[in-house]
Amino acid sequence: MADYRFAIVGLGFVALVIAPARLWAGLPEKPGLRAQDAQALAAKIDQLVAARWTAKGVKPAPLADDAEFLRRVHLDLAGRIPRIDEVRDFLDDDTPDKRQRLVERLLSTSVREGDLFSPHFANVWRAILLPVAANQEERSLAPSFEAWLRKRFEENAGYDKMVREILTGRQSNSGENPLAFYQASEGKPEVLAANTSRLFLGVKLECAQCHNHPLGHWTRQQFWEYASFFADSQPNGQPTGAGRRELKIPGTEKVVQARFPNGAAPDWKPGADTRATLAEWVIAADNPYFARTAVNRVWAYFFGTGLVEPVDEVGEQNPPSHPELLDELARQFVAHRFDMKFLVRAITLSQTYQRTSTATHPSQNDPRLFARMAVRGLSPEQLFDSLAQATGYHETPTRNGYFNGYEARTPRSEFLAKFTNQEKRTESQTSILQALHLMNGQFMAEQTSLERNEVLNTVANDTRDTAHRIEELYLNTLSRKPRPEETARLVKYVDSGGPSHDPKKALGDVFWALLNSGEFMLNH
Amino acid sequence: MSRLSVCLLAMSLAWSVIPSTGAEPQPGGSQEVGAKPIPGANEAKPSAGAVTRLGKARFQNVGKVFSVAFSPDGKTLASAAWDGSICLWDPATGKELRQCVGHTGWVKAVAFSADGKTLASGGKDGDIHLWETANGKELRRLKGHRAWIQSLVLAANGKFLASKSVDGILVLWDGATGRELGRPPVQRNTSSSLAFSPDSRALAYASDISTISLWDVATGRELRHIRLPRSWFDAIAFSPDGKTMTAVSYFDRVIHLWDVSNAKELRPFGKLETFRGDGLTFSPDGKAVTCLEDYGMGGAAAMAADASAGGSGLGASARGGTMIHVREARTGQERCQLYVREGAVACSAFSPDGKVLAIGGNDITVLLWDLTGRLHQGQLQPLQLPAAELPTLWTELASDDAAKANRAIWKLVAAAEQSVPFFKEHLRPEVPTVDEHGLRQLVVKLDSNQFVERRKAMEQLEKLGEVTESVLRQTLQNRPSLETRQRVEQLLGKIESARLVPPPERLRELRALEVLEHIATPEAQKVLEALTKKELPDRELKQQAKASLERLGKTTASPKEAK
Repeated sequence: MADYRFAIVGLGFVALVIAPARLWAGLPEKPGLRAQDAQALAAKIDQLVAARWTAKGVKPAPLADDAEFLRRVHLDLAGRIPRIDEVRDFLDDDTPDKRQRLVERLLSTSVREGDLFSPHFANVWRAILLPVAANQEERSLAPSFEAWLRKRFEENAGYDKMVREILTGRQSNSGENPLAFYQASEGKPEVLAANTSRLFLGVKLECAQCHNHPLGHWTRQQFWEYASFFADSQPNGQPTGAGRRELKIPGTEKVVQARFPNGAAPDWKPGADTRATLAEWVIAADNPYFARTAVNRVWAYFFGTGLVEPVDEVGEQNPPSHPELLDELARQFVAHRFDMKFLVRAITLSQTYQRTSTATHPSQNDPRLFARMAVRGLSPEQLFDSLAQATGYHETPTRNGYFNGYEARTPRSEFLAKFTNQEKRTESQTSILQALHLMNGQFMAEQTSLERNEVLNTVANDTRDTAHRIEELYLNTLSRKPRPEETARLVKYVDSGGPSHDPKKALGDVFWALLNSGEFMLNH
Repeated sequence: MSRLSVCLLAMSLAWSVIPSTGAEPQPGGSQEVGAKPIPGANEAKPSAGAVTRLGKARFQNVGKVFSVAFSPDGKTLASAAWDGSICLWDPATGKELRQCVGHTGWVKAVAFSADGKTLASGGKDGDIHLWETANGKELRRLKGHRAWIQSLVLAANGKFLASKSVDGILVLWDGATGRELGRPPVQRNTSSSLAFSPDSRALAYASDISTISLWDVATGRELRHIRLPRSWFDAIAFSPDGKTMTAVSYFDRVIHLWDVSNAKELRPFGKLETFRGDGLTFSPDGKAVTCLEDYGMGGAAAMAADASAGGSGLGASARGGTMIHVREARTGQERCQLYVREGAVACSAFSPDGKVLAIGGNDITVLLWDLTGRLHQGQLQPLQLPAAELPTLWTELASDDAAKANRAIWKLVAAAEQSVPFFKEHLRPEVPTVDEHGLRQLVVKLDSNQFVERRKAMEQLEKLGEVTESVLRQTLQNRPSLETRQRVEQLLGKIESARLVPPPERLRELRALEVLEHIATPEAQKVLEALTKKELPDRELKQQAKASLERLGKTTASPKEAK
């Protein structure tokens, strides 16, 4: 008996000490050390990306100048362009660590400092996890899901914890609702199986719903075994409580039991919660799919192209462009407890992210080599919020533009409603539609009218010379100073008064043209 | 056993919960009342946190106390119940003073006049009864409603009374003559919540499911309205200074807060898991607010539902009963909570000194809850603190944890002799180091071509905070450059943000004012007065200190008179 007790104590010790040590090996506890880790990972990213250039004879583009970097990182982390004072301060600051400090400021989730990261990243991840459909009922789920994500980003909850909460699917209060994920699928096991495998494991299982996967090794039986984890779901997303964990494969008499996609059968303990059991398996540190899928999505967000592309098709038939990099990012993401800010910090501090988008050599054209930054279209939210920033438009805040689960009828919500089906950001289709809507819309007409727009009015009445006024408009819209030839051309145009022979109106024309330019409407 | 002896027994038991051994009372913790079985049909011991229970018998789930109200002097507590009784109690002794008899059927609402001499009540019979508090005699009966009264409210000046019946009719009455003054328009099926502004000029009520109207009682016109689509507002209340108004939306369960002067919404106040509208009450100083979370009957059905949902453990919600939250108005954070196990709690009311909360529930008794955790026989026990503890409590006043800060507040109130001199030393008004001319110079530098100069000006203005506000607003009026405009807007945004989400130092100051107001001695008032001197900038500290003194002026003698 004594030996048995000793064995239990011994095993407990091993489980407590060894297991965390294995999972979180080398995890630094202090924020300062974490920042150093992010720097180290940034250097590793650059090293592994550069290794491919050498192999392919690529000449990488130079680093982006301060203005290009500032605008890009602002759009990516805060979801809008910087203010004019932020641009001028950043351009005039000559301290060597200013890019690093800027990233830290943008990642700050302090309410007092004005947190832009949490609402923006909540919006980014909502669009990934719960793409807004045309269906009004589904659209009404998005705000509460986004509000819940926002709260989690504010707390900097680990990505694993967020996914656990989504998969466990409990109704919280009406305003912040992770259960919306289940509700959007109406609790249908096959839809949930397809969505969760695609989003959290990077595996498109849909094909295997009807037949064995044509390319991968997923069989139809495996699909329905996995779907059986969701057999107990009701249309409202809640489990029925009956504890059902089996499904009949449609068109057959075969009944299958819940099994993980790797074929392993869960070790059901008495009273075990089905969803929680699945969640623990999905988010486990040693699940080879989970962390890799997450970091690949984050990479694709920042570079427009995933290390595995398409992002949903991880597998032998679709190898990553940089396998070692994908492994390293996933390893570090796990080691840093799925800390999204850590990953974002490392990527944005890398030289790979900080390269210019201007092509300087034909060898930079393959987007999967990341030799220059991809030009990306803006999300509807990024575009509208940047436009609002540039024109000084303020909308009464109603929790992400929504109120009570119903869209408030505001210019923002009406604008967003026109772009519900978002295509891939590196494809220009969306941007052309946005451009047409912008150029012809009433909102734009009002925001660039000299009489109605405060920003334009302020610039037009500035007592300094025309060149200065042009510079202000450039800093305010494109977040950079005009080039000498641009200044010369536009000063001439404004001073001549344009077609209306009114210099102030001509300045309004410049403002309109800048806001409708490709440079404004793209992230580059 | 007589009713009086039962009450006294209950009090002697209840008050013994304040430990004299130096153990720390925990007003901020979660407390549970009524967990003990009821011995016979008589009184049970209310456990930690409750001062006493008023009422002889406790009948489970047969009816409830619908409304409780303290008289303005705090010496009388009125309760109205399902059995048609209106009882007047002495909350200090637990003794029933008298009953007001005359209603046919249950009584839903009671309210005192500002002088405490009159009590108004309304219920099933549809009449408004006005009673003389001193003897329980009926003074007048106001007839006009054709259905039962849901709610009624008296204006502070005693001139107006408003009542709403279940058929959706809202009537404004002349409080002195009983004459009907008008019927503000209201849609059926709206909330029964009514509130007069503290200056008695406006009545706030839900006029439809999306709107709260502010009705000018003198002119009979709508002053302004607040609209949020499909919000189903309830629990409308004014802060005691009349500057802000709050209401809860059933739809999203958010406690909304508005600036009354322009109907602009301030930061959402907080959010409730579940919500019962009848319990939302501001404390007399406006610093705290109660919310009731009704978990229903609980018991086996709720447990089964929880088990089927995976048995995550819904805590109190599976047990039924009501959780009463007391939140800090300024931060929306929870100061303390009380769990009342026996089913629903229907109503609550703060005592005028803010130290006790009366709670009426469905066992037709009234519980008095000690919010300070330090009351002994109705009085706050004086406390002698070790000198080293004062700086600790000073630190805790700045805490993000409102419960911790709340405990520090009451400890400092109890240790008045030490805390007043300490505050006199530490609660110093910040005298601005830069005059108006200097501020304007700093604003000019915001548009400097030199980055370092701009940055320094920005940092300095940000540090100066509120005192820069008027200069910054004037700057915006004077057509500054785009860059200056954006910098100034950013600075104003930070000032605004510090108002809505106070930084720790600001919270400490505001909580310290609360301590001084509760102490209320001439010495404490002197410290408050020092913060309101004319030459000091018009910061929130000054405004709040003024408001504290105004409230104290109404309840206690001024320092000069005291001398």
